[in-house]
Amino acid sequence: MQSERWQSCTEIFSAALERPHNARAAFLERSCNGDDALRRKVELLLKYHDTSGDFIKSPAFEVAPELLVADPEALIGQHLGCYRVDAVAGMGGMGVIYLARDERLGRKVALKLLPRSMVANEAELQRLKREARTTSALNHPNIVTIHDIGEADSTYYVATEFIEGETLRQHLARGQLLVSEGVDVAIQVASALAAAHDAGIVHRDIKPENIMLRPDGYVKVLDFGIAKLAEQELPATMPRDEALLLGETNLGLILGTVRYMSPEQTCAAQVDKRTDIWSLGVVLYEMVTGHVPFTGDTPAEVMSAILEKEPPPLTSYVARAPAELHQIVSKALRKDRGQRYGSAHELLDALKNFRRKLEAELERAAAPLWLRWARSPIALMLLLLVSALALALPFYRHRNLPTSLPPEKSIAVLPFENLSKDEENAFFAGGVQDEILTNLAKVADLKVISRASVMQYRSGTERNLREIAKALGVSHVVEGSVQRAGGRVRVNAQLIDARSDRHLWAEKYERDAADVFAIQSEIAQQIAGQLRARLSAAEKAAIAERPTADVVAYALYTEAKGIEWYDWEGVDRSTERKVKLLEKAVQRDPNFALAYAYLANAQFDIFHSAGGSDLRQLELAKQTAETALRLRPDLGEAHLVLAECYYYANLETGDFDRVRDELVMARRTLPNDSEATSLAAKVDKRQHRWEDALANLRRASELDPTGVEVTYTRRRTLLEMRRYREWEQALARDVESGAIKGPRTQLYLADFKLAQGDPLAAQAFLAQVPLEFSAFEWVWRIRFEVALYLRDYDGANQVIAATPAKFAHVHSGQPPESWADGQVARARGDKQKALAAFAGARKEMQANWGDKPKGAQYFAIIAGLDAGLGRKEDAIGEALRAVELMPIAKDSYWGPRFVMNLALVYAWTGERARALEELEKVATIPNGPTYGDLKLNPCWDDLRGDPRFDKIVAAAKAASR
Amino acid sequence: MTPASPEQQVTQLLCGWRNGDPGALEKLIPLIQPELQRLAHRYMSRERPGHTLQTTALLDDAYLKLADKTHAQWENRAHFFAVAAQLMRRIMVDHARQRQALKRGGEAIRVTLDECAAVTQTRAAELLALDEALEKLAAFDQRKAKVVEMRYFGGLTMEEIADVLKIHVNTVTRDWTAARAWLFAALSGEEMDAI
Repeated sequence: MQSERWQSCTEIFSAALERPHNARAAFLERSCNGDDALRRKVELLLKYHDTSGDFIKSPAFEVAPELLVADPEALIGQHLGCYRVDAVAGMGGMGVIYLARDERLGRKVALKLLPRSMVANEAELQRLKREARTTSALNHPNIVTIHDIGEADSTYYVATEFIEGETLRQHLARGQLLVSEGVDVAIQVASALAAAHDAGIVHRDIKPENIMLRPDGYVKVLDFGIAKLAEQELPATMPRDEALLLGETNLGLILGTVRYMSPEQTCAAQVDKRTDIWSLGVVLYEMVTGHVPFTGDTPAEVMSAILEKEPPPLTSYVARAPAELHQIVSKALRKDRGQRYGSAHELLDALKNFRRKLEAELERAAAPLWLRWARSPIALMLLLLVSALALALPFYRHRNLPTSLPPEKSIAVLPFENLSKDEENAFFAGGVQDEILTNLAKVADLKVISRASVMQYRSGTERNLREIAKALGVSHVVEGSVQRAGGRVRVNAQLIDARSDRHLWAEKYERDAADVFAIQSEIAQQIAGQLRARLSAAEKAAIAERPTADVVAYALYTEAKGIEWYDWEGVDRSTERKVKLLEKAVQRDPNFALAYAYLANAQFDIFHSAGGSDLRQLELAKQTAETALRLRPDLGEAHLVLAECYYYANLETGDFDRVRDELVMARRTLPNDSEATSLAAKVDKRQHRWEDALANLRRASELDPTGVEVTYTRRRTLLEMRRYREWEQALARDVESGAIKGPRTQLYLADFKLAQGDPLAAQAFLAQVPLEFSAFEWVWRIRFEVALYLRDYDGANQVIAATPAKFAHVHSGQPPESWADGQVARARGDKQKALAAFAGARKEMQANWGDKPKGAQYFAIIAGLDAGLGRKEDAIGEALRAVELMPIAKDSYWGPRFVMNLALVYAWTGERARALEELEKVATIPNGPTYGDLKLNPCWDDLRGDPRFDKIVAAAKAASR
Repeated sequence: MTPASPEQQVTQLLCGWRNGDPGALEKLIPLIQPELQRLAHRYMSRERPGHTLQTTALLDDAYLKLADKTHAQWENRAHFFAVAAQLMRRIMVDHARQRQALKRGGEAIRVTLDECAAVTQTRAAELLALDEALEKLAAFDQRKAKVVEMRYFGGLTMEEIADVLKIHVNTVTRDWTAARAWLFAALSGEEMDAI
């Protein structure tokens, strides 16, 4: 094939290469023998040979391995099992991550394809599944849930929860984080690691690519998929055969990107949980400084830096980096892992302590605590929305650390371990625990922690029982395991005195699966007996009762109850799924009263999370609850739903007699229900029983110590009652427990400072809240009020313009955006603009309200607008109408707000004496105007300078404790 | 007659290919490709700067697996590598073409892939150019083109190539050096076709 000329060309080329450079010309002269074309060719080859460098020296495979794999985009639109691939979501260590839809369940998932070689055999697949089950079973809010591992079209895939947001890597690409932000992310990652480590799982690959930041401030740790069960440090409860299987996992395989590798990883030594602590240290360092601690031009250099060098102090990048943070990072980055934090729990504690100090410092930097809580008339309407939104807050679960000693007869039933082979049995195991919890909660003599607060402790390992019990405020803990196979069920349960780690009682049950009810009842009775709880005859009967005789219906019910809000895409979706399962359950057993009650509850949740305006949905929930009560007249769960329904149906009228009746019925069989207790508190607040409300809220937050709604309502109530010192204690505790997260702390503090009449301090707190943090509109309301109180009118206008929803939720009883514009213009003295704004707002109000029934809220808003427009008679008439419709005597919660509104209308229409008279009525009572409002809000300018007004302001200040 | 199992098919096709059946390779590719891709996935998932996993190590795995499946119809390991090199070239070039087509189609590269995709695009373009030049080289010096294919796409050592081609290792080295210079010149825009 070779032409002779080409052959001689290459021969001469090869021979020339063997000669020194300076001898080549003469050699070519000789060899080419006057053939210039040949000589030019050889010279060209020589020239390119000399300059070719590394050209194609490394195999293509090493240079562009991705080209050996099919184009990731090719999969879009394809189906894998029940998943439809919609888009490429990103690139991870394990390859391409797709956004896909689970067409069976209609949810979005993140889909990763597993290299076939990673799961070459069944044993490996089983191991992966086992790990996925273990991490997912933790149900930790900071760990991404793995839904499914499977095989379709001869491809293995992993389907996980789809997280909206960006990776920490993407976030860091825009620059480093504030110290407080970085610490917050690190706390959440540490919390995820602590839970995983307790379950015997080491992540091994903690790096910014594997940390997702959700827009709501949640941090999610990804890719526990490659985390291997830690070879060492098996939890004591790990069954023997499981432990044996662990031996198969590869040792020494170096995983993880070099820069985040621990010294032991660079040496391919065995890793343990302290490896993750190191990597988190690197990530924390990078978050705060924007630089990785160990650098080098080549991987080898990075590795040697990891092994030998100390990272530059944080202060070399961030001048004011706190010394304590440096200590935390240094301790995480000790080369000798024996000197690092011994566990993620330790690191977590250190980070939390540090965060507390940070906050205390910020607090000290702010003004002294001498002012009071206040709220402006504009906020009157906004407040309606605030409380509506507060209810819609996602139900975060966190640890709480009560200070007082827990009562003797108190207990937390922790999630049971599912020892069955297939994953479907997880529901079954969850159901057993839930039923035991529910049974015990029926005993009035016991304090039983709500399901919501225990579900976060899914790992169920022994070592943290004491801590868990402390966090939940209980003396005793129940844990156990469930195994179902071949129609048989085996349940282990034990009761532990968490204060002494003493096992008080343990029992094994092995029976037909259909007998599970009997086992559950027996366990509950045994435990109640061990705790010497007094059981009434009715309680005994309730515990012994079977909810249904239909095993399938019961399975559907259990599955529905097992759905947590964070299992799925959101509250709405998970609730819809619950509804479907429960509908099937009652179809199978039309006498299954409890399933009806729970269905009613889910239907009510749909009404509630949709904004509480769809009255047909409310009616549906009510009817279902009534169906349940026809079957079982004393069913507390159904009475509770009815109470909720009546409460929301009568929000406007304040007619709560029926609510109270239903609550009495509900609490008779549900003495430990935190929802019933907090609903009672809501009614108390409106019926002049503020102290009862507080007591109920205290009880509710003991039963659900990590419930966001309960803790929030309690703090809110303290503010309304002007008990600022207690509010501050509650806030500190809730921050400490993690019940309040991220920027919310600063927002609550800003709001608090505003009430205390210190808008500068409020502004300082607001400055720490990223502008994009606007999960709820009250964020913008606080921003607006701060600007208004500071008389920064341009700033106030900017806030209005920037508010995403434009203050326009008229259906929630909120005035239109132009009401806020009018406020600002009026305060500025720009009469024309104010008039135009109020006129616009009035028009919008009427258009939006239309023919809808008009209550106190409507008249209050219209009155304020008419007052602004100078329509004195109308304005006063409407404001009086609002007060008449909801007087303080009838509604101690909203009443004061309408009186304040009347005072505003009088003030704006020149009726100074009347305005002062009205203000005097509310200046010191709960939910009246705050000191900050009276002192600073421009809307009261018409009254300023009057000694009577000064007295009112002083009284409001003096009323705070 | 029952259809042949994939293993039998592979064996038959390999025999055919060895006996000079040009269609055999076409049919082999879809059978062996999944295995190589699995290995490639694993390679990529392990591939980190500083790792020394060699292409040949990867091919070793493939060889052992295939040898297992096909009851060692290969003359030897190097022989397998030569086939694998062709396959890998084929696969990579196909994928590079796909990606180029995607780019020419003007379709926006999806966001998070930006950086990765850009690098891949460049590599794809380079790989296609190299493939083209290699074809030109093969037109007048098939052996040198083969050497490059085995070395660059298969990651074979000089000794292994010598073994497959049944020539002296020094010849392989000389072939490689000359071919490399020629390819680099061609890719640098020099007129290299005619001699």
